[in-house]
Amino acid sequence: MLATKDLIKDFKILNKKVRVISGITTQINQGERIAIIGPSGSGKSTFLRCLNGLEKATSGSVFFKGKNITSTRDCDINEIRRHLGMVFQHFNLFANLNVLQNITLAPTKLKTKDKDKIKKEAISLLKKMGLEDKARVYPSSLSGGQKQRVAIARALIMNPDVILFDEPTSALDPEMIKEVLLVIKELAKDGMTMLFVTHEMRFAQEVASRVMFFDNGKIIEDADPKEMFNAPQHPRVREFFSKF
Amino acid sequence: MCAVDSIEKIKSTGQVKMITNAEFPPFEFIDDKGDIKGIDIDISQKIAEEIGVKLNIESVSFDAILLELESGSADFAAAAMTSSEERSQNFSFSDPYFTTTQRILVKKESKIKSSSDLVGKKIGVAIGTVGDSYCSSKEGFLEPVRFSKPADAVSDLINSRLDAVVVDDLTADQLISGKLDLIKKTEENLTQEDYVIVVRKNDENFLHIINEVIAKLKDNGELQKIFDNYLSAQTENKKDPQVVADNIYYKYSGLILKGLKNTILITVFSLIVGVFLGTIMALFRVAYKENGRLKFLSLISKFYVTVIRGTPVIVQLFIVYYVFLSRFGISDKFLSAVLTFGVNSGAYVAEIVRSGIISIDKGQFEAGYSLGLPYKDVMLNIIMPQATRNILPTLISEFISLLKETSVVGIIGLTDLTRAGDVIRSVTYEAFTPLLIVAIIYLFIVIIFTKMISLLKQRLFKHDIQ
Repeated sequence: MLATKDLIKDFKILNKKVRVISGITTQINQGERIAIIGPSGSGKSTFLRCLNGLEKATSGSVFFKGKNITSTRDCDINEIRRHLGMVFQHFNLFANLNVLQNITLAPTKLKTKDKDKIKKEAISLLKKMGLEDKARVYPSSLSGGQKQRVAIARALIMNPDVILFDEPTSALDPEMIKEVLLVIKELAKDGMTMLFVTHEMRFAQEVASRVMFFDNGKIIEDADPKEMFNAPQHPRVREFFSKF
Repeated sequence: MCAVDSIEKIKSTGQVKMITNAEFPPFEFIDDKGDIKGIDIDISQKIAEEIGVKLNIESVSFDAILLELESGSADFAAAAMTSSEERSQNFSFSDPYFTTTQRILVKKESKIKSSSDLVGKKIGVAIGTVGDSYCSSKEGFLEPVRFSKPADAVSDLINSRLDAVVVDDLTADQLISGKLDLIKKTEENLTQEDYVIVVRKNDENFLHIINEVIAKLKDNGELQKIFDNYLSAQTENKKDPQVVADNIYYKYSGLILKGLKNTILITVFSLIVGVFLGTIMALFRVAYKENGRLKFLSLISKFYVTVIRGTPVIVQLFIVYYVFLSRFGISDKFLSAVLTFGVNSGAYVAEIVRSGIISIDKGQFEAGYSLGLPYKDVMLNIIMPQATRNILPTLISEFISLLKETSVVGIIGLTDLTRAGDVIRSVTYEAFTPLLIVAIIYLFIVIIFTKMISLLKQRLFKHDIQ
């Protein structure tokens, strides 16, 4: 469903070129639940953001359903993004809109369905998230866990083929982490294809169908969770786990 | 310079335009109905009658008179002007129609009697007048203190900040009337100066007609009649100065209201232009930064902001009025003011809007994009509503400073609030009260406006401010 070929991403920091992704070729199939782990600064988030074009690849390609989405010529990135949901570490709820409007804004503007249907769907998503009483509330008065559940509902209403979670629980208090992980687990059970950058090893082990270990802008180990957590091959991965 | 011939143009348009500075009674002043009256106006009327056309009068600041004449927006200047070497480079002068002299004003108890006593003394003059050049060139005199109005010099004289004031004879009479217990006029005539009418250089046919009219008026005694009429009206006025002063404020309240209306209209229209232009300019730069589009327009926007913020607004006003609009044959002062202040304020608004947008968290953009919303929808539905809240308080201070900055429009002869105060100052020869009235009105508008906005803000943002 998603694939990258020789993906490279450089950032310019203080006029110095820094290579954050240094040549990743991989493929993600429908129904896979991929946990992306590894040390800070290893390019996990950048990789995820390259997949929906929030970061423009320096070279190499990203394919969605066989279509090269890095070439601006024959691809409308806005159209592609509708099918690639994203959930951010800092939630990024629209501060000027209430919870319901946050969820309905994109489908309403993009006219994916008619208005009544969108609203009904939004309310049923809020029910699923346990937030039906918060529809008219503004984001500033929600807790972190509530915000992240609204953000997930906002991504889900587009009926995405894949959801990209960028450290969805890193900005949360421990007790709120649980409520958010629970929601993600439910989605996994329903067969949603997902990639999640995370530091929650137990969650990764429990939910992921495949684990990618990033180091220095490269995937140095790519295995199923049992293998990755019980018998990692790469010495760098063994060293990383030894710190837990 | 090639020969010019205004007569043809005057006859074909059926009107002749005279330019003056209506702040010098009894030669030219604005009466209580807001009309320009005076000796120079009556003479100009005779000139128009002689040619058989309609007379148009325009009043601008004294410094701007010759600029207007040179630019061709007026045909002649009648403003109690004297001929001078510098002016003769570009202008021609008529025969004199009035001769006056400069006199010394001193405090009643002063020992100064003549010009020889002025050596080493602090002297006040009105800027650009004959008194100014006389004192500046005289051996042994200190550099004179230059005031924009003789009344201001007199108020410094009374407060002992000056030892003497040098002004022309007629003005001297006006200044001391009502203050006879404080100041006096000395006997000596310092100069002899001739008031002339000014036309563009080499406009000989027109100058010839003007000279004929002056000669005729002198011969048949009409000139004397005009002078007697205005001068006696002035002595009449001065009988009971206090009553006259009170009366004058009442009489001129219409002028203050007109000025106030102009000040408010210029500010409001300029702000509308400024907000519109500024927002567009800011959006160009944000669009370039966000997605690399509109590079050229973004550069233009940057250039615009740099140039406008880097030059004084009064210079911009001159350029718009005398250079830019006159190129298109437009001499509408109100339009010039709105255009200048609109474009000027647009540069400041652009920076206000841009920093308002930049201060929005990048995540708000990214969340919008990640849902497949195009740039336009993200800006319109997510970013701008949030930016507006950041922008509004700064926009209000921009409005307030704009309101006060418009006080320079008097320089092109537009009657705003400050100008109205100036006109009253020149009629009453009073420095303090008109300024105080004007300041209080400005303050009042600012306070009312601030109050209104804070009420509006409470209603507008009542949900989402936590």
